[in-house]
Amino acid sequence: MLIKDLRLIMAQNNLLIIILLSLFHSCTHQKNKAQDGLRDNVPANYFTKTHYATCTPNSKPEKYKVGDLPCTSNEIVISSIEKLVIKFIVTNKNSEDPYEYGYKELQRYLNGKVVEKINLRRDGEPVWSFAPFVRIRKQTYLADLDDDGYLEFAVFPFSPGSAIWGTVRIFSLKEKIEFWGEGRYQFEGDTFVQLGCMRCSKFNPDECKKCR
Amino acid sequence: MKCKPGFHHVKKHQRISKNGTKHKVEEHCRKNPKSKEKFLYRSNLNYIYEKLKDKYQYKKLKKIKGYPQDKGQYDELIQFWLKYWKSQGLINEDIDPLLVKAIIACESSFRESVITEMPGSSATGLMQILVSTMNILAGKTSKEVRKFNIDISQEEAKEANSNIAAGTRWLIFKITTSPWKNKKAKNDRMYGGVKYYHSWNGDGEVYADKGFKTYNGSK
Repeated sequence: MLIKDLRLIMAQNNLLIIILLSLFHSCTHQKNKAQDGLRDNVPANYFTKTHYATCTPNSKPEKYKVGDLPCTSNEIVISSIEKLVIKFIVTNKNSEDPYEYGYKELQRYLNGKVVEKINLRRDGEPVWSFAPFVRIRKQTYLADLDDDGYLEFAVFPFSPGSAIWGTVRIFSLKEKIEFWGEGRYQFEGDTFVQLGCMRCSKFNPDECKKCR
Repeated sequence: MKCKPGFHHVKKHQRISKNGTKHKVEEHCRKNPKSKEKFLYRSNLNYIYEKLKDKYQYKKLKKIKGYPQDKGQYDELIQFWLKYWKSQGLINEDIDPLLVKAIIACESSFRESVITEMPGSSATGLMQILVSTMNILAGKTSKEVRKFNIDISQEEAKEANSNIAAGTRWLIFKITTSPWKNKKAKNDRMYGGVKYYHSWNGDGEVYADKGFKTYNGSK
């Protein structure tokens, strides 16, 4: 009787182990499948579905589709007399060389006059010619990040690759505009600048936890 | 449908004339407007490939190690578009087609109409091209691509020919405009292009390392 019970218990244990093993196998398989970060079955409306983003408090929701760059601007109004503008300066309109063609300039206006200009192109950078302001904090283009009494704003030199994260340049709005630092920005989607997670990508998934 | 460069494809549609009469208009190729005279659309990319594919010779490329999905099904397309862009003067040196194949392996594991799982991202197809990239290639967002603009939709980017044509065009743009373009060693210039094909920060280097590891391991 005792031997019979023991055999039954052993058989049950074996069955349990087999079930556990098969569960483990299927989990790891699913995990690996998900880890490649790709999907074959895409909803039919994936590229045509309209999304909405509220770019600033009380503003009308802005329509966008996957792949658009919502909530970007070429102008930030600071006060009734002061604003920041990003303009493209064409240096040689006939050139096929994107470096010779022109560059982006940040301009600070005071009472309708340009009081400060900053060439946004830096040496040793890849070519880009689109650089909008992006939201530095949720729904705002201006925020005091370091509590020093001066507002910061972010410019996103847009040079996309196959990654959807890009590096933004942050400036501090002092008597003269000062470079403040860099942050990450997911340009295809409704987000704002992320600080402290510069190395987040599908190749460094642990880093992403720091910025989400 | 295939159209000669300089023309674009117009789908079958209905036209209502001034007196209210309805006409059926069959699909046809129509001349591009002057501002987009030299733009290449999907119908042009198909035309170019069909018309010129016999002009070049193709070799069987080595398989990318670790990717059983690689059956050599895109070898000819990759080689064709690299040769074609070079013949158009977009780049002076040869790009190893195996490198492009390694990029395809890393990006999509050779799955033609695959889409990224990253929320909000539009990376599509073999070479995982973003809508943002499409917009730059088509001169919609900015004017940095100054010649051989390609205008294809995301749906069209799911097709191998359109995707590889646009992806290799974009890779060449990155190789020829990256800060690494003046490096002495060809390998470095290519590395720079692959890095910026992904992104311009540290992630780009992680990506390029992975791409070159895959490439070198398959040589």
